[in-house]
Amino acid sequence: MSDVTRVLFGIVVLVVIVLINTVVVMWVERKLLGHLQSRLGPMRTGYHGALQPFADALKLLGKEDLTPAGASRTLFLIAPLIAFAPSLLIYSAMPWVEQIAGFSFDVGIFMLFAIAAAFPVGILVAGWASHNKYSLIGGFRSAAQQISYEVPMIIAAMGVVMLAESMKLETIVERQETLWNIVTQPFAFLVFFIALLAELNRVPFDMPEAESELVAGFNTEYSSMRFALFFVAEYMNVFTWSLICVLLFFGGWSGPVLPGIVWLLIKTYALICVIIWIRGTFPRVRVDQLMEVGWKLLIPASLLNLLITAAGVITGTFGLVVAELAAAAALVWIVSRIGARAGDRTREAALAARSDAASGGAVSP
Amino acid sequence: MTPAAPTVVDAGALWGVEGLEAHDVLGPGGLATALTSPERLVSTLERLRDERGFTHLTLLTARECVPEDAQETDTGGVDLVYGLSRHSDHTTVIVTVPLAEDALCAPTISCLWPGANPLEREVYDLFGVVFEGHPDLTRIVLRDDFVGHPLRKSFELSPDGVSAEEVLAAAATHGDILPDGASPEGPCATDQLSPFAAAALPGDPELRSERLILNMGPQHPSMHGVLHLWLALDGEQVVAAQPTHGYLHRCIEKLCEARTYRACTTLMDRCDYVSGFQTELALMLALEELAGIETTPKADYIRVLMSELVRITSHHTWYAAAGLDTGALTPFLYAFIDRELIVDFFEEVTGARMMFNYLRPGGVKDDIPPASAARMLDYLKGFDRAVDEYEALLTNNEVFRARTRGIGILEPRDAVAYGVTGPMARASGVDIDVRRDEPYSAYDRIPVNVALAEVGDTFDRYTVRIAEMRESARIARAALEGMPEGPHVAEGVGRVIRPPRGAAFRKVESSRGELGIYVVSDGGPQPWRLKVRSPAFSNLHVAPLLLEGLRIGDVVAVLGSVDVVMGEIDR
Repeated sequence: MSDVTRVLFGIVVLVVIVLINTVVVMWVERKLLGHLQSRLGPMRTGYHGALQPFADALKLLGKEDLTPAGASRTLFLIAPLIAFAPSLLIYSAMPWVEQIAGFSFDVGIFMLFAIAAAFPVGILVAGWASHNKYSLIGGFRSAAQQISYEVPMIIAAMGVVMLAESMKLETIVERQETLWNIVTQPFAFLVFFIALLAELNRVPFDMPEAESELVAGFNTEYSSMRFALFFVAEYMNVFTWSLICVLLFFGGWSGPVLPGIVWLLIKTYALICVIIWIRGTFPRVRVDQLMEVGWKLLIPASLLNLLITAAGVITGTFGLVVAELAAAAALVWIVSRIGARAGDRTREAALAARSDAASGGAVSP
Repeated sequence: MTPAAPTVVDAGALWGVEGLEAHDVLGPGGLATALTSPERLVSTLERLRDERGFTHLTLLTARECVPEDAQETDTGGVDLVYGLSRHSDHTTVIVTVPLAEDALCAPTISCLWPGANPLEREVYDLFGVVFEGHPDLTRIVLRDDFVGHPLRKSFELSPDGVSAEEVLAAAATHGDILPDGASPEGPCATDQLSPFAAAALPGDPELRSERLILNMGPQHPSMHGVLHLWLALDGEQVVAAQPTHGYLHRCIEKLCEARTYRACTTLMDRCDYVSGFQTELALMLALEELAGIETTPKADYIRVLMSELVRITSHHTWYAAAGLDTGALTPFLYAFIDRELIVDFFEEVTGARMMFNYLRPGGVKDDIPPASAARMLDYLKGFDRAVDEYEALLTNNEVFRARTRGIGILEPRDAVAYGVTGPMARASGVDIDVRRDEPYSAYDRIPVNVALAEVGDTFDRYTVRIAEMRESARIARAALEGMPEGPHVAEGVGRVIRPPRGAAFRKVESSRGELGIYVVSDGGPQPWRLKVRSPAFSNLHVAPLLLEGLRIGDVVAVLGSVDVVMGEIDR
């Protein structure tokens, strides 16, 4: 086999593996969300609805591919591709196990973030080109959100890089064979995970497609396979980022008895279930609260993590773990109060203004 | 029992106001009514409000003058009807203003009660009465190019619809609706910009920004049916908001005029389709008062039971929507699982799940099957646990609190001025509840604990409704346990009811607030005029006040907490 055919063959295999996993994520989300909400989820297509994603795809294929009047036609048509391409391209730099990988980059983690950064471009273009106000707002929200949350995400990942002394993903995983990074870097994981939910447009940060506010956000005007491309890209991203999270914090493919790839998938799907669980539990935050958490909290927190990790590298693992756990606890405490605190202040101000007015002349019903 | 007679205001309290003339007390129940002239209207109402304490504008509508002779077709004008109530002793006074056919003109009272603004638009829309000085006198439920005023008895749709000439003529006069001689600067001239005018203002000149006009609805997933919200946005921030409705207008009030009283019941279900029993009950109370029909004790208890159960299902629907509006999916399904159990009970008792047609003059259609009653009692005993579950999902959820606390604060002063009632007013600390204040049916035998909150933000409206669900379950349980034996409907009520000439206005506490039915009889088998005082209508029109300065995400959260039902608003 020549090099070219080998690469082509590899690409095909990789794409098939990724797409199969995407389909599984869709099914898991429907079933798990269903059971969280005291219902069954899809039951009719295949065993417990296992064929539901295929039925959805077939349905979407049969729909008319509409382009709204007044839309910027070329941009409108290529936007789903712009969004879809990086979602798949990211696997060129993704190691699965030691033997299966795309290209092995020395700056693999940098490569992942660089490719992922192209995803919001597709959404922004889709929102702009649709000639729809909801789409436009959705696109803007998406751009603002992804820019805000990429920063803390990358800085949080730098803590892991410092411990591994390498940006190569294989090395990062190998360094975790004795002790997973989740133990030494819980604070970084927390920041990374919150930013990841925003990066994925997942509840509670599903602002760009907030269905109760923006109808469907940036993809309001899309139908047929173009909608399916966005849809598939989003679920692929859920899988991708869970995988990256496992590589960075949960020891990647390391684990006893079972082969590496099985461990990797078990850990990834466990994380995906947590993301779905969050979707079943939380309402959506507001756009200004989202920005507030990102800029005022997560970016300083991720910088603090760099500081703690640097100190930890000198003082040793025990000190690092203790400091990280303390910082993580503090972050949880602040995050759980940051939103309601502003509201409570408004409430108190309203009551105070009212009692001032009442001393001038009582208002009684 | 006999229908509870509304309190008659002592003459001194009422007639002490200059400009009010003594007037026949209409109807056997004896609503205190008074008469005044258009010239003296504003000063009279102002004195009633400021000196006599009638702060709550509960009714603003019109009726065609009832002719002396049934054969007479020329009615000779329209009476404006204002209902004011006082919270100190829960009395209601009706002030009528007769207008002659050639001068259908009255001053606006929207400077006294801002909540009168949309109500006057409705009267203009349906009766053609022009309110001088009104800031924005346009049609509200009918489309802008509609010709004619359909609640006038003289109104006729031509067999082939409206002609093109008529439409063109209406379009030509659109925006110029004041009759000759009427000055646009009425006694209430307002310097307040209408939201449309405010939004026409340019954005920040330095940034050279523009306002984004967003038409939310009528096709939008969280507009609770067909509400159309017009928003002027500065980025994500709302500069001005204006609700537009009428997409669900089915002329229910007009249809009632062509039906016997019994046949009106089914239309009442279609007003507030989320809590049909309550609108039915308001009609029955008004009709029974007008026609002097007595109900049986058992019927009173069944009516209370059904009102409270339907309040629970209505709050279930609200809770589901409140979750969805803030982006939480799961509360929806939790609420609907429980709602289903109560709706099944409705089906067992009435045969219908939403459009009940269950209440009858003098009682109810059928008795409650004992097996269903036992099952419902069991369910209600465990109801608090279900509400605990709802609360576990939202009440202490940090994101939900962040989204609702301090958002959309309704000042109690505004609540009164805009005629806001029900859970929304109670969340602002306005202590009103018709069930307790003017007890009807069996509410005088089953005490009601009124849930109150203090601030009046979205979160308080949430907690008040959650508390009401628990309270409703308690009342329903008390009604089931204390239900007396006996017939479920009074004997001897005729098939066709012809109440004597007169008018009655009765209120119930619906899931959304004070729901009233004002019914006028000309002695015939059909109501001469039937007006539904819609609580959601007034609650909705305070929304522009709440939404200003909020962000798009808050708009749906606040609207969800207003709990609008378009069927009742548009009628």
